[in-house]
Amino acid sequence: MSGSRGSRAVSRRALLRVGGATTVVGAAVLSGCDLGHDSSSKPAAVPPPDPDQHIVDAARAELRGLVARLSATSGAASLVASHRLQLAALQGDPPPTTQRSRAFTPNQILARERRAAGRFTHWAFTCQNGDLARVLASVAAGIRMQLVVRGTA
Amino acid sequence: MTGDLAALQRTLGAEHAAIFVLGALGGRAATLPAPQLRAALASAYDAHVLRRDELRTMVIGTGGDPVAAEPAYRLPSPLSTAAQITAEALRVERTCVTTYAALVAASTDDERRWAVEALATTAVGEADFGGHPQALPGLGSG
Repeated sequence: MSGSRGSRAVSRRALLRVGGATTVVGAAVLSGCDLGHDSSSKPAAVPPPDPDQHIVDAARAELRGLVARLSATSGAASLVASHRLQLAALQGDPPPTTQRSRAFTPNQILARERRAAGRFTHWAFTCQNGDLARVLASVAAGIRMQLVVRGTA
Repeated sequence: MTGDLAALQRTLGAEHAAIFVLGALGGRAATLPAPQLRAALASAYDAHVLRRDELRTMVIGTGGDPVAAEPAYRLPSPLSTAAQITAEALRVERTCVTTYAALVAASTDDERRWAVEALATTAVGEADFGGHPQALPGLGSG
């Protein structure tokens, strides 16, 4: 399977939910049209807060942290590549390449990957949006697959 | 039919197919000197039977009438070597992973929890059939 093709497909799906800005912009444009000439007499429509935004932010931060530390760790290239794909699926930006991070020890890799798998599983359980849950559950499963390869699942 | 029920029924249908195909693969593998493959097929078969029963219970609990298995399912040909059987088993498992991912998206609460666990467990089990780790199993990503 093509990783890049899959990544784009997932990103589009994720954008429906994860890119809350899409909904917000659309709502603002629509409300502007509806208001017409009376726009100055009515308050601007405020989009409702995204109930999953804190999960999206935390998930992106988790993956960014892993990418940064694993990029400084020898023998972790496959994990870095995997987490970059997962971060892209959540519309997250990778950490800057100029960011200097400490390398993980082998035990730290396992501990952090296990912790991440647990967090993504929990977020998949608890988020409200189903499409987001699918991405989060897939990320959790992808992390667990890597742990199996390392013989530590 | 509610969204959840339709997704549960689709997943149950996928389990029926997986059980049929894995059973057939086990029969083909029985004549081969491949004890690890036979064990992996038996383990996968048992796991899918268990999930089928759990899904039937969930469908009934949602007020539905569980879909029945088809009389038979198409098997690829040829299936005479361990490599061919292994590849087909991996295809079955990956198809189920994608189905579980769809159920995650369509479900809530206990059904979603079940689907998340099934997705992860089955994805991890792909290694028994030579599957390599994927960044986003069930989403069509490599």
